[in-house]
Amino acid sequence: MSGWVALAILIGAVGALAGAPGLLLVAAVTLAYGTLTRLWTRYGMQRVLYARRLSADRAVAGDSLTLDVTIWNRKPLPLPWVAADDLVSETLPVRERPTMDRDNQSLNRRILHNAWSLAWYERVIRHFHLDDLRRGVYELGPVRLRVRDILGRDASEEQLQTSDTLIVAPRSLPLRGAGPEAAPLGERRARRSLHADPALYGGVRPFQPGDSLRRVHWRATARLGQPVSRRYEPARGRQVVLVLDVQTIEGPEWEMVWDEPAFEGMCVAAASLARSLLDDGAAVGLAAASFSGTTQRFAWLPPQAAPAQLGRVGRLLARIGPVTSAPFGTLLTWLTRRVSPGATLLVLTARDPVPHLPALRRLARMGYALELVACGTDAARHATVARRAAIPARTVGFTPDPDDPEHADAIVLAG
Amino acid sequence: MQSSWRVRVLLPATQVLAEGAWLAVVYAAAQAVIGEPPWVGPLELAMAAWAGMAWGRRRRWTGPAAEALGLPLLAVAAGAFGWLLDPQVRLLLAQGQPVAALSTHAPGWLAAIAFWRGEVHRSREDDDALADQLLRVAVPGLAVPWTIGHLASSGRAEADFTAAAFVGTVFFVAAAFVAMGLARLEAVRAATGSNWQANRSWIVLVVGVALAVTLLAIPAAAFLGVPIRSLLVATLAPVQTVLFIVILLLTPVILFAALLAELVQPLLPEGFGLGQIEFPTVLADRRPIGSSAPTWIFFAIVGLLLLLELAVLAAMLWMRWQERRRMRTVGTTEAFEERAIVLPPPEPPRPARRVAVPRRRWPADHPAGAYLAALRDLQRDGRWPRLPAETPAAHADRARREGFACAALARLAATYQLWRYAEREITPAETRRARGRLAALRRALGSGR
Repeated sequence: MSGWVALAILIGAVGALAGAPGLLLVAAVTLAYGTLTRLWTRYGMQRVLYARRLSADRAVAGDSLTLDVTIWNRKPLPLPWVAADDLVSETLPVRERPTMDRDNQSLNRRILHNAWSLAWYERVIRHFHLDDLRRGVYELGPVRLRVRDILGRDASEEQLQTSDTLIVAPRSLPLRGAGPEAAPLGERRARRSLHADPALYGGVRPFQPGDSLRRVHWRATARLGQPVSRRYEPARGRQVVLVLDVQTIEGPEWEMVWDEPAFEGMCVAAASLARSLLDDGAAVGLAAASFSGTTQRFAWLPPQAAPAQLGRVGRLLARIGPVTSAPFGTLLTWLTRRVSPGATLLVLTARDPVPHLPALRRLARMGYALELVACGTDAARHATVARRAAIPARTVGFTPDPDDPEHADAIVLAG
Repeated sequence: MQSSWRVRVLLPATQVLAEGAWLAVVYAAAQAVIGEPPWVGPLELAMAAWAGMAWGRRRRWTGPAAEALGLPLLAVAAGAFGWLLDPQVRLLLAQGQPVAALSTHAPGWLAAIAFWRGEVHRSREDDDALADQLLRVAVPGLAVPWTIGHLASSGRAEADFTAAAFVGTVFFVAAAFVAMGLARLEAVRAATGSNWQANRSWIVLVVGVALAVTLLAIPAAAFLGVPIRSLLVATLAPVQTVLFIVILLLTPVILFAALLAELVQPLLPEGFGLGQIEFPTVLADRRPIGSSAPTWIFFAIVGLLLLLELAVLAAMLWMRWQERRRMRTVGTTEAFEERAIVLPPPEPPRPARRVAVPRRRWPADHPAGAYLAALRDLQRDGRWPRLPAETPAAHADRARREGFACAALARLAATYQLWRYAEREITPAETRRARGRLAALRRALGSGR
């Protein structure tokens, strides 16, 4: 900048000394050209508002959402060029930006590039559409804002640490084929029980004659203005833990190869089974040897029967990936410290169960109810192998296309 | 998405005009050096640059032979075009003196450079970079031909040079700025795929620059002392060139008309001729032109230019309105972008700023000032600084325990506490002693290092 000013002064001085007023004109143009940027350098980034708004921060695979990007120049100085590079997750599908440049400075990020020319106090909202979302967690932000002067030269730059997260859970489909003749999934739960576990508090209910005074919830009675008693869960509840074998291709667990459709199908099957089990009144948990956005080695969700559990299962399934964080056998061993014997373990796998049969048999001996749910193209063979080892097994397929979980309208549980 | 017409037409036009304009200043300086008036202006050189750009962006004749021979041959042809624009050259050629003609109007061959500069714009992707480069180099670079032209000419030649260089500079500034802006807009369109039809920034840019340059040109011309006559000649010279080109292009038509006249003549009655037809004359008043007429003509032309620009603006707005109406008729789907002028809500008044009471800085000869100066020295020294929770006495005690064997600090602290906390009057004798104690403390600090 100072170089341009010095040059203009030099030209002006030469013009004055040589008696050539034309040089003063050139000096004036040089000065204007050199100092024009300063206006936007100093004031360009002030009072500029950038915001993005997702129509929802949670979705299910296949949904479409809108993403509104707002830029607002809240000052009288027009901005001939303001550009925003919003870093978004690599796989985020934006209808209006079918191809986005990869960001060199961050991993797995692409640049949602926008540029505007804003008049004074002008606000522009762009409506982007995120179509056919796939399972996963999508990060949006931070954003780099750049302002250029009227000649398009870089004047100012700023990085805004605003971030949004979009969690896309897998679809949960209705179960078919599990007719009355088929064995129930896991252990059938008694809706009512003569014995309630006083450690499992389950809310309150209106006072009934015969209720012990010890059972009256006095605080809730005072609050509601009518007598209410504590309600407890049945002493014998059903706990089902869905154990996902995220490795989909045989080989060492550290190999970074996987079968994408098989893994996605397994996630859809897990979500669908969780939904079915929760509807049936079971307490459902989830375990997988996969990183889920935390430093924990295993993705783990303790069993619960609450209605919100299905959302939690979906969110955890959205976060896990097909890369294993530990051998599957290690996960099975680790589970014995988290789940008490008596619980049902539904093991979902897309590969041959032979290497894990000893561990599974050991769990069965410890008192866990084990059942193997085979997914993928060789599901029937894998289920047969498990049955030969005295481990109950079923197969999961999709309908109408058995190998297409993305467009399926139901899953078929057989065996 | 295809570029809009303003990018396909207006951007190249401004680019070649900018190239032609800065070369016109160079050409005027070269003519001033040899004492000749300029015959070539920004428009003529812009035409040569346009030819170069067209050659660079061609899609046919792209073979190796065309690449090797085309550029030099066409550049020479463009140079010859510039050289021929001097009437003296044409006269000499008509008289059969090609050698004499070649030694005349050598700066006209700058049109070859204009052709080459146009060919540099062969890639549309480089438009904004080239415009930026041109502005960076040519804006200060124009000082060189301006200096040379002024130093090398005088009198009438200097006036001619000033007028030509002025016109060239004004054309260059206007065209280069517009080219830069449009190139950037096009770069945005290419990068984002956004539709700039709905953007009015380019209208503001083009019309704003044109208006600003027109309005600034008048006082600038007066300031530079550009003679109105020379300015008119420099401005209207392109008309002469255009007429020359039109006549050149119409030569077959004129020859054909002459042949027809030759054929028709025997059929006409005896004595019939064009000489018998009397054309009406508009020159009713043949008074000599007064001295103020050129000024009026000049301002009339400037006014006409302004009117023309306003008409262009109105036409562009009308076209845009038509386009919007057509888009509404077509029934576009969901709008991708919403624009609105929204005034931000008034900000809540800022809380009244607390006026900081300046701390009194005591002079070093006051006991309080001496103690505070001692504290600053200790802080700077770093070995026995006073801690925030320490009283002066506790600090002095700790410093003594940690090895600072100077009683001056404890005495200064005691005096300070008496004055600060007990509000006791300090006697003049104590003030004198404080000065000596501060000096002793500084000596102790210096010797302790």
